[in-house]
Amino acid sequence: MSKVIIQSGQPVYKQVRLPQPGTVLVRTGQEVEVGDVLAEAVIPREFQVFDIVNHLRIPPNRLEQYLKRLNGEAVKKGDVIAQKPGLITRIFRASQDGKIVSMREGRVTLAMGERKLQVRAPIAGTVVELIPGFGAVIGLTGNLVQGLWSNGLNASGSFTRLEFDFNDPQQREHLPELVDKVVYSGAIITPERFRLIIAGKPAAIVLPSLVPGLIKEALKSPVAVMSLNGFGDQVIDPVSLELLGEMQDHEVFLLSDGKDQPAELVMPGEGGQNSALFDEEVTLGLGSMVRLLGEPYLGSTGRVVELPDQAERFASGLTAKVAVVERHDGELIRVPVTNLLLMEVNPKD
Amino acid sequence: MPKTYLSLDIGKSQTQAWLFAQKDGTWAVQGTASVPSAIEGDGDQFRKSIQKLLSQIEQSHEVRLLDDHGKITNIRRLDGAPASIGMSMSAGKPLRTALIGLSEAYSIAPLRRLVSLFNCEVVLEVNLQENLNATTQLDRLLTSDVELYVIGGGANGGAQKALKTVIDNLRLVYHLIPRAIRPQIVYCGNQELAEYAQSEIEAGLDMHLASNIQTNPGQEDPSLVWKAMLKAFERLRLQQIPGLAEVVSDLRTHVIPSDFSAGRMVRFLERSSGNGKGVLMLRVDADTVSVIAARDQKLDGLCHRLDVNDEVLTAAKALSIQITDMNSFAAYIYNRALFPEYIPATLEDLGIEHSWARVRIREALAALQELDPDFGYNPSLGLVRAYEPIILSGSEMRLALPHQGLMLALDGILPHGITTILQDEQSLLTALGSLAPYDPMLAVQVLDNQVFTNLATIISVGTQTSEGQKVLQIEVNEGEQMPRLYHKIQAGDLKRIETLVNSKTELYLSPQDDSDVGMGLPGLGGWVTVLDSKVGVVVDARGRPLNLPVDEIARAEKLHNWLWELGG
Repeated sequence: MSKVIIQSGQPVYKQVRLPQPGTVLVRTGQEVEVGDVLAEAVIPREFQVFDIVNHLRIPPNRLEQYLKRLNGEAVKKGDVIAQKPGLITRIFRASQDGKIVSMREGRVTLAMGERKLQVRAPIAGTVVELIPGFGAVIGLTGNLVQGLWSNGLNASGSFTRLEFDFNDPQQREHLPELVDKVVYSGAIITPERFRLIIAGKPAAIVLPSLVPGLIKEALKSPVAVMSLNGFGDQVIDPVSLELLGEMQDHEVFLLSDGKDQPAELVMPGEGGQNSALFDEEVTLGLGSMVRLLGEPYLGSTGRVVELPDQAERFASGLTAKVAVVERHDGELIRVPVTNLLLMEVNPKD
Repeated sequence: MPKTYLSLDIGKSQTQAWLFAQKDGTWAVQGTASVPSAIEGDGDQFRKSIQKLLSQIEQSHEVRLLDDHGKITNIRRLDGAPASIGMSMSAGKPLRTALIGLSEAYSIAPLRRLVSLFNCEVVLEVNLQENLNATTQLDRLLTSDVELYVIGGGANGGAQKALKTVIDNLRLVYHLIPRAIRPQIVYCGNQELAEYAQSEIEAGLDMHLASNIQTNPGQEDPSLVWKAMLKAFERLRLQQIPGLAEVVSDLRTHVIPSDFSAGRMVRFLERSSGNGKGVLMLRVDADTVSVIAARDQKLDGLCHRLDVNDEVLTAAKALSIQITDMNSFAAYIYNRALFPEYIPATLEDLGIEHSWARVRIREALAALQELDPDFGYNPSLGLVRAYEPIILSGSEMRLALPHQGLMLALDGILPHGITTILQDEQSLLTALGSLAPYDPMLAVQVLDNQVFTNLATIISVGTQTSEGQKVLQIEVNEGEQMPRLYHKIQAGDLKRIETLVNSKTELYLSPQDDSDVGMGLPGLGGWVTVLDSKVGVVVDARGRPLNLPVDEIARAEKLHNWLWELGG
């Protein structure tokens, strides 16, 4: 069953790893700041393949006598690698510093320059685990709101809830200061409104849900975008809203799992009552807080008050195991268990 | 304990197990179980999920699968363990694949057909006839983040220079760039270079040699390369999925792609049917549609994931029996992708779900047509070549009532002539395919046992007649004692005729001169005998392409009426 965590004092772990093996530059227990390099791999910047036999017009059986360097040798820019003397001397020189990595069938391959692949800490915290050869896991404690979708970008900045009436023409010219902020808006954000917010140069935009017409634009946006509930016209639940309220004017981090993937909003803080060591897997049960995934209740939340053993038949004619959910307004709804998103929240919520 | 076989399929959302045992000397399904798939995370989670699955089977059947502590162990050490275990897998991202060949027609195209059965995503194609210089070629090979390289091309004894260059470049790619997952290389080109490729690249067990996919100029036989592809697939998955290697080792099995596994059985059905038609399987899951087609001793298949865009959303909305605004329709589709296990509980959701499935089926068939021009699908006319049976499976079909599943398949496929639609409710084609090499009789006997649900017999009437004109007369013979029934079919009709329970029903088809019911010529009819089926005989005279009203309300009403005719 899908689950989101919306909790304060929550242990947060962020895995940061290279796409290919390299060197890990941190150690367990080390404190890291945003932007610190955790691991790096060094690879050649480019390769050059040179066909000596054809370009210098050398008979293949006499190749050896014209080669001036051996496979594996380091070369400097301008070094002669092969030379055919004669009336007009033909020479193949290294165009940059590098290394000969292959000499086969009359072809010489040079690896030139070097390129560093680095992964950096997207958030400050403690290195709690090393991934040998690849990276590390950063751990911290803070307020955590997990969302279902993001455009793949990470960001950080002061969190601000945008109180702005997009329908009021007089307010249009007076959008609050948004530069480098992580902006949350509970209004329906159309592409036009999205562009208006983007023009304010925020670090990130957080929305309860994303209207389908905005997805393409959000994916191309240079600003990090996160949707808490997915897509459509959904309102934020009271628990998330309260936690976002606590984030107001504090520095928060939007950590994305990748393009079209979930993301989380983290406000680092003091350790709370939770501890990862004693965490139990939260499963659906009586009293669980859930978010409803289907129309006509899309995005609304409530608590599970009954879990009947018998599967039930729905209006669509399909039969499924159900949960009875009591919404905040007291309405009881029978929903397929598969159509619920389990919300892991603080006990008081 | 009786002799048993176990099959496991690690799907995208569910991992299933089937236990087969002999009953009265014949192999049959004895039990099934499923658990949510757990391939993300550490190996411990994966192992525990398989353990839980095996425990479910062990608790309710006479077989040993776990040790005394309820843990997975070396299966050979257990008394009463299955004789063999088969394992297939559709979970995991598609393998990022590079195809390297000497020409588009003779090597790249056959390689595309080859890899499409192995859950591959082609991210790079290197056509050696394009004469890329060696540096550019090396750059492309290095920067495409490829997991599987497949090299074809060249007739045996043919030109070698271009192939030698790419082999040299591959050696560099393999050795110079450190990788978390060691790439696999399949060589199925000019056989005179096979040993050269192996000794030059020096990839050890990551190099897989096969016979030349091009048997003669213009002729290909992908089956010659399947063994090498299976090895490469398994080695990649064992590296990618934590815990899989240990489970595969303990269960003494091999992991193969689910589509390939089902393909084995589709191929077997085609070879044994003898009706001169192909056999088609469609597995419609929440996020992908797999199409497997066997015809003329040839097997093609692919797993198609449709990217959501405005064009396909508009096409899908036009096939919905519910009136929904575009925003809600699109929001449903996008949210659905986030929650593959979601069940459409309302009629509105079901309408969107099924119209989306129709478009996904059409797009998957079109993709297979692009891969193999002989497949016989035309995007507006439908499936013009004869396939019988057409077998449906997958989670989307399980979510539909029989007439709903039939309707969405019928509208998605748009078959021509006469065919039978079956449903593989237990996904047995996939289960049997991975066990077939261990005991071919198992697969044969299970399939002989009428394990598929007969959904309907489809009679499609090809006609240019305008709507309302008579195109076909049907006489139904339900037995000597019963009066004959007559049905007049008009152009535009979709008509259901019920079949006799547990018996055969005979129909005499008398098409009009210009109406084609797939008996060889327009106007040619004859007797057709059909078996009992869930929905019955469905006579489809709606024409190809489907003629739907432009007005949204009228269109939804027409689609609704068609569904109503099939069962409500």
